[in-house]
Amino acid sequence: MTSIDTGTVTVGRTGTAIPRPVLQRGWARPVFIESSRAAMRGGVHAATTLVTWAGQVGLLGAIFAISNVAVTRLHLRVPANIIGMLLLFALLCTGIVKERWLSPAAGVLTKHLAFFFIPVAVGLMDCGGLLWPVAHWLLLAIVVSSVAGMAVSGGLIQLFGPRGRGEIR
Amino acid sequence: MHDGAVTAFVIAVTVVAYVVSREIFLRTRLTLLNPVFVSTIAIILVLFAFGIRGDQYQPGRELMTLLLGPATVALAVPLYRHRRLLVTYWASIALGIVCGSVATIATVVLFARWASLDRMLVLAVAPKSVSTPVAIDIARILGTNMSITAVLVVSTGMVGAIVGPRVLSAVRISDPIARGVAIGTTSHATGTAAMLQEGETQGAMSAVAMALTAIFTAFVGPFLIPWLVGLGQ
Repeated sequence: MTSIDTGTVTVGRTGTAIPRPVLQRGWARPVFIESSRAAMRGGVHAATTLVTWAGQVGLLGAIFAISNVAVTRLHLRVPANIIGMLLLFALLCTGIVKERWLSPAAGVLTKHLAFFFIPVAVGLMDCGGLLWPVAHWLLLAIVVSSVAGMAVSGGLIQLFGPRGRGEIR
Repeated sequence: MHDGAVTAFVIAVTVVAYVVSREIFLRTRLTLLNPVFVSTIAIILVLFAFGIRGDQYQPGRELMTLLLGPATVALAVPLYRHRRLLVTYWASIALGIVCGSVATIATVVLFARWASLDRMLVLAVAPKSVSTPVAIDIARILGTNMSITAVLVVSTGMVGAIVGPRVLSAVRISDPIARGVAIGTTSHATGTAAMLQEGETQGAMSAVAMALTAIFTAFVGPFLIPWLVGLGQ
């Protein structure tokens, strides 16, 4: 008859709720026991979180490592991370790996994926000299090819594909 | 400074730059204040100010990019979540991604060659439409500079997010599926973020298209790009 989450005790057939502190008034536990238990619970929580995270990142790392070995051994001209992505997608679809085994680590890593690009982009300090004199040409090339890609991709789908829900502008 | 201290310093600078620039971006929502772009400029300025050379940044870079591979593998999770869309619209998605990717790669390579850019730069700009981790790996396979590719990929995302929706409206592409796939195919995650603001269908289609474009380009790019670069020479 004890409800742990609300901290009340229900008594009698009517189920009157009496707050737990009222029941405990006579034998209130010393504060240090309470606080040390809370600290222990906090410590256990931190430890399980750490182990969960290590396990989830480890699982992703293991899939990446397997893909890396496969790409090297088979001399494939394909990025290992794409092989790993396909492998994980297949494992999720077949139910061998469950999505909950990977969250929250997978969510946080993909959310902050951009962080990992920064150290790579900083490498520009050694080769920026090559880039600046032709930056306008590169920007123009990017704009022209992006517009071409969008027009081809979107145009073909609009011409031949099924209609989506609602039209925009 | 001691080597270890330099490494610790550059990692701290990188993390602080990321946290601050991300906060600025989240508050302003200005595509031009892209966190990777702002951080990179800020970090290079700080490293110059402290007289730290590129090769001294290398150990820190290796430590910080340790989780890049596993993080990229984790992109399978959002793709798995959208698997229903994948099954429903597979024909549209395949058509848009294959033709859009080939069109964008071909135009960028031919334009860059026409502008008589250095061969190394032509190869570096070619994989610009796919997500950064995949693009830099394609750059590595092509034997070009990964840092230049990373910067060009980020620039492509910004261009796509800023002009993409307007271009699509200008050429009368109004179907949400077509718009989502078009942006996901050409402007990866930055474009997808812009599509998410436009609508749920566009955002989801863009996310799916971005992941599939990365897969398609990863398999086709290492063969198609050198062929286009060497064409007629």
